[in-house]
Amino acid sequence: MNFLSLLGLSVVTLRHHKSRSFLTALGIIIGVMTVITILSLLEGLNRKIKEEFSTLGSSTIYIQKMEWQMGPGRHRLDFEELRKRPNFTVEDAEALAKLPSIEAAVPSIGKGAGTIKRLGNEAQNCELKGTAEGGDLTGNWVVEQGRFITREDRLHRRLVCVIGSYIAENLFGAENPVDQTLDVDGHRYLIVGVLEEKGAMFGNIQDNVVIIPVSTYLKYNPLPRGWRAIWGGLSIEALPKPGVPLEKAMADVEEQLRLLRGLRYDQDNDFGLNTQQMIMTAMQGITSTLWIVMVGIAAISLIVGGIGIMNIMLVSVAERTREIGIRKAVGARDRDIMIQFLMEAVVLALLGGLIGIIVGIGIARLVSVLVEFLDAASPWWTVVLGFGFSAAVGIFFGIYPAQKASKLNPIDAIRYE
Amino acid sequence: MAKKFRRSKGQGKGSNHEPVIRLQGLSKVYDGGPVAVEALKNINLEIYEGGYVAIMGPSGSGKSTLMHILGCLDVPTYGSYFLKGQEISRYDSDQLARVRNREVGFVFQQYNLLPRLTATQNVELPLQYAGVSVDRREKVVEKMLEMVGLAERSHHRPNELSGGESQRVAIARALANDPAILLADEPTGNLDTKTEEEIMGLLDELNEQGRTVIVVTHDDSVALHAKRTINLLDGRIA
Repeated sequence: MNFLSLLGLSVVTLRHHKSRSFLTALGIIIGVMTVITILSLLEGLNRKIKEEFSTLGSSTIYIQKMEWQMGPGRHRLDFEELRKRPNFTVEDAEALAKLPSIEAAVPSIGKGAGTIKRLGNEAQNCELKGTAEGGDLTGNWVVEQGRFITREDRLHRRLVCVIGSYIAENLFGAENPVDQTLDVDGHRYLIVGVLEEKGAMFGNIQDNVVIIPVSTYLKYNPLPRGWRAIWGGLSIEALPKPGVPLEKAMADVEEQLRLLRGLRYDQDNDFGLNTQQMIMTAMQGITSTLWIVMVGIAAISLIVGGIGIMNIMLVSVAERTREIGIRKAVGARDRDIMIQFLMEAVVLALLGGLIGIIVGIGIARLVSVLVEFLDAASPWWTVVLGFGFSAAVGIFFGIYPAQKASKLNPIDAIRYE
Repeated sequence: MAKKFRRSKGQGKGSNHEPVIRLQGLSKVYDGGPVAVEALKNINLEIYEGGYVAIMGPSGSGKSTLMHILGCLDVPTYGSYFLKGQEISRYDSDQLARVRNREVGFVFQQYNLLPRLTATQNVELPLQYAGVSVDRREKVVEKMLEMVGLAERSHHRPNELSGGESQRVAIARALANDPAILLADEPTGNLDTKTEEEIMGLLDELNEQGRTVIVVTHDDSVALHAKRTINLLDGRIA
């Protein structure tokens, strides 16, 4: 028998038992559906993470008192030691800025602003950020109108600010905010620049920011003390020169800071160097863990589905013992019978796989529509994977029943009632 | 008309003295239960090409077992079976499948047609396993059904056919690959007298065309059609 007539035979046989075939394929359908849905969503999530992080300066080094703790393998934190770590200073930033591998190094400090007023209008939940010249580079900001904070602004503790596009829109509408004033925490600032819109990152608006010279910030806002200083104190943002690898720049910064602080070779760093790359790696670690868990679940349901197929194929072999006998009596070889039943199992599994792929992509699309920040992507390889898995399950779990059918003795099979 | 279906191939090894079937010391022992049952005991038998043999005997005499061994549906425990000079009793399962497919045609009492297939598809089955092309298959099936007088019923399924018609389809199927031997195991056991005569008439005709026909029966009127009768009793040729 050739391939096509065997395929036709399988389809005819399966159609004869429509509901039984469907129920048998259900395990495969659910398994493949899970794989496709999860892979599509995770792929979408990964793409989203990459996209969102590209709004931050992805190569900026955040120099803080402690390293960001993420993902598995977290060690216990010694808060007493962390608390005693020295504060960063504006002079530290200036020293780092002189490194040949560093484009810009600026002090940075921030907090939630109380109220921001302009004439009768108010804006809530805004962020006040103190920085210096070059902070537009390290923060990945683009100045749309006017200018950014300058060295003179910082040295003279000027009451000037640069505002985010969200504040510009909400408090000034169509007006040009540059050269107008804004009241922040009871002080009146002159607006010198407006920033281009950055968009949201994981639902957080980044454009509701008021940026002022760090010196001005420190004049009105005392540095936090004690354990609050671990996170709330002055930090430094450093941007490597174009073409300088991040690792090289980080090594230079580390060496310079150790030098400034006079750390001996056997003393640990009393500061932490953080990058967006770390968050991204941690995020991808989380998604890959999810991936493994979900693929595990899907694998289990595929195995269960496969056992279902094996079970129904064994029933089918028993029911059709006589048919097998007749086929052998007219000249079917063991391998003809084997291939016939194997084909049936594989066709059944592949049909389940096909339905699973369609439903899985459908669910992923549906989730993308319902969940705003998730954009499912079903790359071609997920479809190949779905078909591959179902074919493998069909073959693996179909072999035993097919083997059993092929080994039947023709005369016993024919006499079987 | 039916002349076309005569075997055109020469006899194996080209010798007219070599029987088409030769059994030497053939025994069959069923060893499944607590007691071994010897269904066939030291059978020696020669059947020549063009023969028309009836195998008779009471039930339990081993005639069906003998038939199954002749049809390669079962294998002997001891002894040798030569078909056209080839020792079939040494063949492996693939080789036996080939013999069942091309060298012998088997007709059962129960017809044993596949219920979901039409008459045409049932007759086509041995041709499919022989790897015959679709075009050729169509022609052969048409000829076969015409020969057994069922050309108009070709698209009916077994449950739409009478017993006689089903047996005709089974005969057409048995002859599809033009085998040397036609084996019929109680072919008229389920049929009325009139239909029995029709089926036996068909077998007579096939034998007249030169085909070797072997019929198992316990019915004298069936055995009368044959040129030679072999009586079996308790697994021995009487």
